Amino acid sequence: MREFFENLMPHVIPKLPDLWKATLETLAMTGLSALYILVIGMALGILLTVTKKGGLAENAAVYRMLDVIINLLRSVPFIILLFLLIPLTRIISGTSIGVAGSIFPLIVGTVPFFSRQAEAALAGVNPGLIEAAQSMGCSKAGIIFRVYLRESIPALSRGITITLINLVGLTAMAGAVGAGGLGNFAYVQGVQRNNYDIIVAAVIVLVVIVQIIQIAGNIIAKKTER
Amino acid sequence: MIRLENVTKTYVNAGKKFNAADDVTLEINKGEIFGIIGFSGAGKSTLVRCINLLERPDKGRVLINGKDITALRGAELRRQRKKIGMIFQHFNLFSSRTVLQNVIFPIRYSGMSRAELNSKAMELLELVGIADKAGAYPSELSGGQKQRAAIARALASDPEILLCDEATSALDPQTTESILRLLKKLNTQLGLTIVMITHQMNVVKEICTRTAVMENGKVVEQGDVFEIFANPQQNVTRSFVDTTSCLSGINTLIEDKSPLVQLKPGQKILRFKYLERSACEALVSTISRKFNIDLNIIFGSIEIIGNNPIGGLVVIADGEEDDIRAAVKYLCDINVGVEVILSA
Amino acid sequence: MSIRNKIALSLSAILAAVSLTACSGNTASNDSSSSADNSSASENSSAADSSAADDSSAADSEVSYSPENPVTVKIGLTGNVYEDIWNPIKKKLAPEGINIEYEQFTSFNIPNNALNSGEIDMNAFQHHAYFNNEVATNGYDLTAIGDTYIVAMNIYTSKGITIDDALASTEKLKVAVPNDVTNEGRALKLLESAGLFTIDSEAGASPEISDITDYKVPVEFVEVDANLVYSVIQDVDLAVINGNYALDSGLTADDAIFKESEYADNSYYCLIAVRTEDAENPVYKRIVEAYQSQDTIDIYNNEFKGFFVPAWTLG
Repeated sequence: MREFFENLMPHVIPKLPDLWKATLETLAMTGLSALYILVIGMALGILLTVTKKGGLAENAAVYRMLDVIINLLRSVPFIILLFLLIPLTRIISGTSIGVAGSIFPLIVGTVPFFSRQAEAALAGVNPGLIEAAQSMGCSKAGIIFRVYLRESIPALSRGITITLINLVGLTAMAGAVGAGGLGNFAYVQGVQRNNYDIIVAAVIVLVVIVQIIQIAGNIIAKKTER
Repeated sequence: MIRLENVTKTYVNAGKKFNAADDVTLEINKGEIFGIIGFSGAGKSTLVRCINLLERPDKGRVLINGKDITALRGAELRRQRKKIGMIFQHFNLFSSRTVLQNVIFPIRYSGMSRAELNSKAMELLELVGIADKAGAYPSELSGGQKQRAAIARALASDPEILLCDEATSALDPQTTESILRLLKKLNTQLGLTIVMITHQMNVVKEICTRTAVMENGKVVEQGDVFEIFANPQQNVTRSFVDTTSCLSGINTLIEDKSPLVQLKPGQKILRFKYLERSACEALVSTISRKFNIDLNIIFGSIEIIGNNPIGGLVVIADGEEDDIRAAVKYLCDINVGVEVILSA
Repeated sequence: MSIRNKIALSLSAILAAVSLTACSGNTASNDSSSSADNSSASENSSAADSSAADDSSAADSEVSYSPENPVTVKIGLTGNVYEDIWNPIKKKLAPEGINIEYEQFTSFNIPNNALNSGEIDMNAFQHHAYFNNEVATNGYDLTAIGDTYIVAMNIYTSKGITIDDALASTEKLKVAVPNDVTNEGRALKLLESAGLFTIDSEAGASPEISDITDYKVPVEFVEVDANLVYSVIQDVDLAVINGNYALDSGLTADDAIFKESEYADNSYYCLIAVRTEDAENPVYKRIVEAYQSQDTIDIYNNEFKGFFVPAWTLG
């Protein structure tokens, strides 16, 4: 069996520890930034929803400002953002390299994306429900948490799934600042050195990770759909 | 109990201002079921939303139990809203919550314990007749059940007023009937003041005591339901009333020259209209016997509104000219409105 | 490989290539052959479609050139800055009947292809290690006919330490190195000569980290793209930076705490390459001769601040 793999993937076997390390790096980058992204992105999504026209706390100035900033950040390709943020990353995280140095840029790069997902999920809540809650004397905060958030849980979980998978993709680029990860592993060890089997091995692991996220997301969405 | 004084609400649409509610003054008494009827766009929904300030009037005042609530904001406004329940055309139940959780929603943080909340909610569900659906989700319910759940939820905070915004417009006739009966029961049992917004006149006929007719943001006619049906003044009111009876069908028959209305010499088509509450006699047979006339009924619409009969008949009267004339006089004397529609 | 893997392979290759190569040094001016990045996707914008030259006359005939019969030679370069080196040569040779034209490329993996297929006549951008790798992998029929320069790769630091300080360190030294094959290999060899560790003698021309056998000092490698090593210098103890990138970042050769001095072989000497069949062509030989002159050395010293060392003077 081992011989079979050694013949099929001659370059991978000696590099298995590196592959494992790269997998852990990808998981670390994704996991550590995910929590910040979800919380900050959710907050921005709520802010966008309540300040837009007809919203609970209509405020055209705030909405426009957020809208513009988010659009701007979304327009910058991540690899460029990564580079531009190096000085700021150093201030915030103490370093611009490694997994630690990739967290801040990953957050900045993904929050705009998720805030749009969150905004869309909240927009899917029937406005009649908001009216009903208001007529029952529910406070604005109450409406946000007890109606908007709760009613959009299935849509939010779909948005989170998309965001996390997107995030895994972005971690591939973080390798440029030495953060490692599967994308970097596949490129440096595989593409640059013409080792196709390494590319395949890294891709297989990535596919597994993404599939797990997708399946988990589907299960949650299904369970919360009423 | 509810008083709207000169309430005006203005919207700007494509640069032009228009008044969704235009200088409306209305008074709704405690314990009554008050209807507000009008075609789409007449301003009824805007007006009813001024009562619980989901829309804030640009001019005028809203008084509830004598207290001016127009300028209320924040926590005070929320407190006031808890005394007014509201149900909607599309129910607006929270789909992520069970029926029981929906009913508990408005009182969740009122200080009651879990057990108290549950028992109160179950009581309300019993009252509206869907106690067995307490653990179901809205997606599992029929339209009528959803509206019952919505009513239970609206009553959870023990309001004195219930606003119904086209509450039966999305329901089939039978279900509409049962919901209206439920509302009537709640009105009698709990002394609940109900404001019904609708575009269906038969809803008004069924349960309202007084009603207002709206057109283009203004109240064009209002009063006792019986009076409105008996004597509609405005054209819009008349067209609403006509929708609930078939009598105006005679005009179509005549236009189409239907064989049913081909008269033989000496025959007349008459229309009788009950105007007074006292007109409950055996009219047709009395006239037949007394004046020796045959009365062939083409259309008949007689019903009871608030314990009083209202309606009329369209008949072909067959007999001597003098006899018919005498019969007509007799009817006028007892205050039955008579109209000769066609003479042969 | 299963269909799924084949598809996944292609998709990942595209993803990895596009995303990661966007970060490899693609600034036109400082791509010197010492950073042999195989940027496969992206920067193919530059015209690889230079018209098939009219210099076929110069190519196949042994006819000499003269002012009456001038020949045109298309030279492939990877950066506008290199034209500064070639301009004096161009000026010198024009009256002799040799007209030099430049063809600029923005990525490294095209000039050899263009040369091999006849679109250009000569290129000057790569070192021997890269050249040999390209020829072996792609089967080009090319020959190096003259060395030009070597751009030093030196060790820098922002922490104010010396190499001896580093060698005496008991804690893990963070060392940033370029992450591509030839540059990383070169960096490791440099670090070896600085005394940080020993590399397995069996290792190939471009050793990998796994080829290190004996660490004299505990080292934690930070592998980043060659052009980004400078940007992480503040996060590491030592940074091994290609001369051209150091030049761009405002560093001088004297800022280095350890320099590449001895060259065991010509692996990193940059060269002029032509098609093998043209290797004896007098036109090209004259060009090499004109290149390897004092004028060129002067430019190296002045404009390139000592980073470029004339390779033909070395052993």
